Amino acid sequence: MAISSVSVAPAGGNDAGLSGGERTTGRSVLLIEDSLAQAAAYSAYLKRAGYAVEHAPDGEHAIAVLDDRPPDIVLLDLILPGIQGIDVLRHMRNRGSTQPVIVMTERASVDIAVSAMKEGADDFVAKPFGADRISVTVENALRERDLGDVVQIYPENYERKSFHGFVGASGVMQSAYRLIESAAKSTATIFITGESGTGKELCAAAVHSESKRANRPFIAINCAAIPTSLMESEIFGHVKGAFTGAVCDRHGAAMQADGGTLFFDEICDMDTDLQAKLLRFVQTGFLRPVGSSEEIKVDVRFICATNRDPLDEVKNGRFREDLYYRLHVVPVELPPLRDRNEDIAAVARHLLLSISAQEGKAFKTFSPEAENILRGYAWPGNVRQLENIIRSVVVLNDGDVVTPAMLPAQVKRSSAGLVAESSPEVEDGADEQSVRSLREIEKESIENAIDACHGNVPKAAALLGVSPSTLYRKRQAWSRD
Amino acid sequence: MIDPFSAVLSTPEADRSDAFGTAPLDGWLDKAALERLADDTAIDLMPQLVDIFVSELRGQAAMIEAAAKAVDLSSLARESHVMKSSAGTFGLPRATRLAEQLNAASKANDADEALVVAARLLATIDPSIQALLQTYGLEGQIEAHGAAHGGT
Repeated sequence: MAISSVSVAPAGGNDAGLSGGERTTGRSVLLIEDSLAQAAAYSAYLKRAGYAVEHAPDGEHAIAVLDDRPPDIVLLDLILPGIQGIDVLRHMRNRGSTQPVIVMTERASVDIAVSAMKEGADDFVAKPFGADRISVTVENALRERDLGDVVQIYPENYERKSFHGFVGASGVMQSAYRLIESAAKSTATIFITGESGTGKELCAAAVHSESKRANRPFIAINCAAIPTSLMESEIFGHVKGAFTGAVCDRHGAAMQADGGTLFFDEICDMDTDLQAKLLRFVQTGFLRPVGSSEEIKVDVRFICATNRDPLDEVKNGRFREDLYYRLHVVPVELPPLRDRNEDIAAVARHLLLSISAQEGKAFKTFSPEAENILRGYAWPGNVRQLENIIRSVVVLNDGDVVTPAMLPAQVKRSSAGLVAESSPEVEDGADEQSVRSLREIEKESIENAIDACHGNVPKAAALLGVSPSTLYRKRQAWSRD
Repeated sequence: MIDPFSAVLSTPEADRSDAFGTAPLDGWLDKAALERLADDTAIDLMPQLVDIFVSELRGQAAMIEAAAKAVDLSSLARESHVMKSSAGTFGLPRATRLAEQLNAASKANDADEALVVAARLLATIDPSIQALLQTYGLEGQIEAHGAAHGGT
């Protein structure tokens, strides 16, 4: 039987020589892949999803195409004959090319892919993969780049001092405000990262408020605060008799959020079995309450957040890679308070006025010395820690100006330490032997707080200005040491 | 000392699969993977895709054979790297698994293990190709392959 010679066109050839798709996105993909068989399959996947595909079988051809007719997005195999994939990526970034680059790698080479992301790749996908995976990844990367372009066209000088509960006019917060605003207008899933206390839930609520779903429910669920055994029912609900204690039908968070936004805080703490069920819900929009045989269609926009590095969680097998790809569409990273030092005084004054009003006190401002101390502290618990300290100051003192004497010794000491660190003068009486590691100090503070609260971890967490999951995680890590 | 690679290769062609373990012809294919590929592309594209894949697989097998004879671990690593992804996509589970093992042994500079695995991998290629071509009605390619290799 004669086989027609269907080949994947080398550089310069378009469309990989394979027929397939009917719809078109108007977007072009450069597929850099030395295996013709894999290139043929991937081209067919992408063409079917509506992309125009050009194939380059090696690094030299790829660079020629990139310089001659830049595509909208690049799919890059890292291991190529001759010029390596990583060098193609460097060539692009050195020339200022901003097209998204998705690295295609072996499952066992995720480390290499992560290194490529540090060199400027936008995402990676592990081989072998199917059409669904690559289409979602390409679509996400293009959508994220489009949002980035929208953010760029906002006037640089359009500065805001506050935004949906956030306070601060620093450059990093201006970028965050613009990103939230742009992302909210799309229907894309938002993945928020940031240390504890940086305002991840505030950010999720801001996205909801700026979106077309603003007049529909915003439902938040903390994956670290609810026991694993109850989590499925919390999210998907249950029917009467599903388990002991299920005395009536109950709607879960997902159904409560129908038409609105469903926010999963601490998503990386979710049990892996439940991650599989969540993936199915994210993919299909259908859920099945615990104990029910019926599937229910629910329309929600997903937002999730974590204070961990989600890629690290994927790499270590704690977070499903396929769920990561479904959820990690528009990443928003919230800066820690220490990285926006110029905002500390404004945030502190805002909190002081608000808390004073709540507590019926007369505090109006901070003395310049007190502000300096606040600015000199590292705020490991971020805004939540600052808020708790100000509440403690307001409750325990009277007056209209907060002075250094009213601030906790811990803040004054650490703040002074930071000043001394940057000063050539060494404080009298201080010596290197007396310096303790931050880890040691943190551990002692946490254990003291838990003792003071008679073992009540959530209460200790509230006093420390962090979430309970942070304390559980840290204690677990110490027990492994 | 017996060279394990030559020992397996000197086995008559028809018996090479015994070195790996006998299996019915359709046992060489992961039909679910092939159905997924057809769903993801188009069923009428499959013969063309399989044709491209088989040509490439034969070339890779020839290069692996040459690299094994020369005990060239770096070429073995390179060729097995490409083969493991392609074979996974095109539903050849045994070739995929052995290509992975060959890749790992070559990268670990374990020449003895690499040569044994290379021989076992090469023994899976012909039956895998045969099963694949038969599935898509491309038996003419089997004859062409047999002729090119002096056929047994």
